[in-house]
Amino acid sequence: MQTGPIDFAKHVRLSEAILFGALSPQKYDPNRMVLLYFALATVSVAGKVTALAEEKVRGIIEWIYAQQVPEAEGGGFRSTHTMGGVGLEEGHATMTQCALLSLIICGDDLARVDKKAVATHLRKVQAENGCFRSLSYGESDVRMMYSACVTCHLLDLWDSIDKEAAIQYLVSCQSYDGGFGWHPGSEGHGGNTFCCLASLALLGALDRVDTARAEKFLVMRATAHGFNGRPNKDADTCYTYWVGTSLALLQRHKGAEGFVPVDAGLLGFVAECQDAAKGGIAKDQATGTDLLHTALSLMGLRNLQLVDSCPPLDLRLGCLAEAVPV
Amino acid sequence: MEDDSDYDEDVDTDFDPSEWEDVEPVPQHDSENPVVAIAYTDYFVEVHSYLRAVIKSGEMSSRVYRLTKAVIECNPANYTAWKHRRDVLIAIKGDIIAELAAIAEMLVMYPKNFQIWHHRRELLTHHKHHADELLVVNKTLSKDAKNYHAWAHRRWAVVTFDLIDGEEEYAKQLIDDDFRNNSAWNYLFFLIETRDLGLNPQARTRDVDVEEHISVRKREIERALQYLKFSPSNESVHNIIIGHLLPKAHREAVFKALAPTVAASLLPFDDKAQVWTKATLAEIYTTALKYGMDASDLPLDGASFKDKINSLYASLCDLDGIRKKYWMSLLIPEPAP
Repeated sequence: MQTGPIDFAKHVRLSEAILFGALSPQKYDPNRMVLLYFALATVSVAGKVTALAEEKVRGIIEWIYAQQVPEAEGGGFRSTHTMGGVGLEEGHATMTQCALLSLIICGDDLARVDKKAVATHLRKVQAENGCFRSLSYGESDVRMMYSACVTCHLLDLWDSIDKEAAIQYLVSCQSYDGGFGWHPGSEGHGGNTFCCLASLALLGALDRVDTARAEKFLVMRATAHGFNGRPNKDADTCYTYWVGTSLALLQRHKGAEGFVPVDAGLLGFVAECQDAAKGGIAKDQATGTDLLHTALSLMGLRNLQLVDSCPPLDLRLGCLAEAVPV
Repeated sequence: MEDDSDYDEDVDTDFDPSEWEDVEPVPQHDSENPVVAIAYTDYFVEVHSYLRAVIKSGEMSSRVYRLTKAVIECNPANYTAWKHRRDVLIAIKGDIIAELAAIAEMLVMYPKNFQIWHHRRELLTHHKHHADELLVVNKTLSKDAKNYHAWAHRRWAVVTFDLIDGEEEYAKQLIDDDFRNNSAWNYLFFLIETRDLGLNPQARTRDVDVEEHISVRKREIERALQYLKFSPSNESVHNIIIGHLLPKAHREAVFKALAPTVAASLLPFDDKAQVWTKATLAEIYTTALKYGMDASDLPLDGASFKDKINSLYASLCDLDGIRKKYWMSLLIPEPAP
């Protein structure tokens, strides 16, 4: 296993601690399902899911299903139990996406997902302009669009949404610099560019946008030491995933799979942002580590084939391609 | 997922348990196998127990409004609590202007919190009081001039409340503060397309003839070129130039009208900013070739498009090694024999 200077073992230990042992601060409660996904993604990209104890994995699966929201309350999955059971907690687009991906990583076949309820959730959260909200009353932007597209793909629920309206919204988000913002008129941004390109890939509509200009925007994110997310901003390890995976997606779309057009010194940059003692990866050397940067750095390195720690990920989804139930 | 900086786990609020003696709290029910276990403080558990109780009972009152504040202060990302706060405020016909002022205070602490910005937008659909919105954005941008949420809010406020006059001055000021502020350049581009070209479907669209398009794009490119003098390697400015030279609307007409002078204007920068100048010129020449323009219309020194483009990309391979493979992929190949 080619891992270079990346200490996978320490990152896995940190993820396991957060999954099963350590208590996380309560500020993470509304994003608990996302944290779960990042922890599992880290273990998965390190190739270590099968090393987790079976009853612990079953426990994760049960906990996730306990967050499933009945159709009468809106369908989909919630983040945590805190506001659950009082009839106000709808499913959230990103929590639904993270729940499904987490189940897949744990080897679940999604048979207990109430697809009809998730379809209701998707209909509730698609906005008139074709984009998606987090919840029926929540904010709308391309992050939620991406969450909805992943959900549609995993459960084959494309008939629940207006695909053409979604595609047109995505097209309108491409900025003058080739990158994508989270709304039309928003600044081209690495994270939003991934959300748009991956959504378009899932929708089968990458040719509806200017992929050559998108590639230029992404390529220009490279510094000698990591990717940044916007012009004239500093490098941040999470763009290893957002920018790196976007580039990989575009290369595959061109039929140039595996070709990486830039050398941003990513292995070295990510390695330097590791916490050598406790594990985990930070956005840069001046900041503390967190699971988001840990998971995204490692998945980004894998998608750019700079590490060889696990079988290939599905570039559009953020999990092992082989784990996705057919 | 932009996270907020650390904050106090328990904040002094006006939550008074004695006010709630008549309410049966609804306890938390985590499953038997909690994963990613959270360290809930007793205070957190207590205030959430009462919030669950009043959501269940449907009580809409000023004590519930104050309770949502306690919950939100435990967790500014709790979107359910924010939603309930809105519902209660409207049900009790509370003071929306006072609420907006109080929330502006929270934005100082959590300037990248999605729920707070969204809360403002939702409230303002009920009460069209917009006078403070730009001030709130100004305050946030004065601390972080690239705050993505703040700029998005500004675009929304300017279009929703028709506040576009005076915005060019603001954008220009932020650019003058920092020529490399990509957010400010992006905002200026948005303003020009919205105000001068009527291209924004969220605002008033109108038909502007192609001559006017060319004239506006020319003016903006000239503005950008002025800034290039002070920061010739500035990616933001190069992107703006290409953005106005190759717009979505009237793309070919604008390009053909302006490309020759723009290319000529870029040549002097090749000395100081080789990578960016060559990259932008190569993009211009490639597009000119695609549009079937005459090589003699552009400053190619008698070279063919293909030779000039390939020579530029070959130079870029040397000058910009981290992108060598990308530049090589743009070389125009020899036709197959």
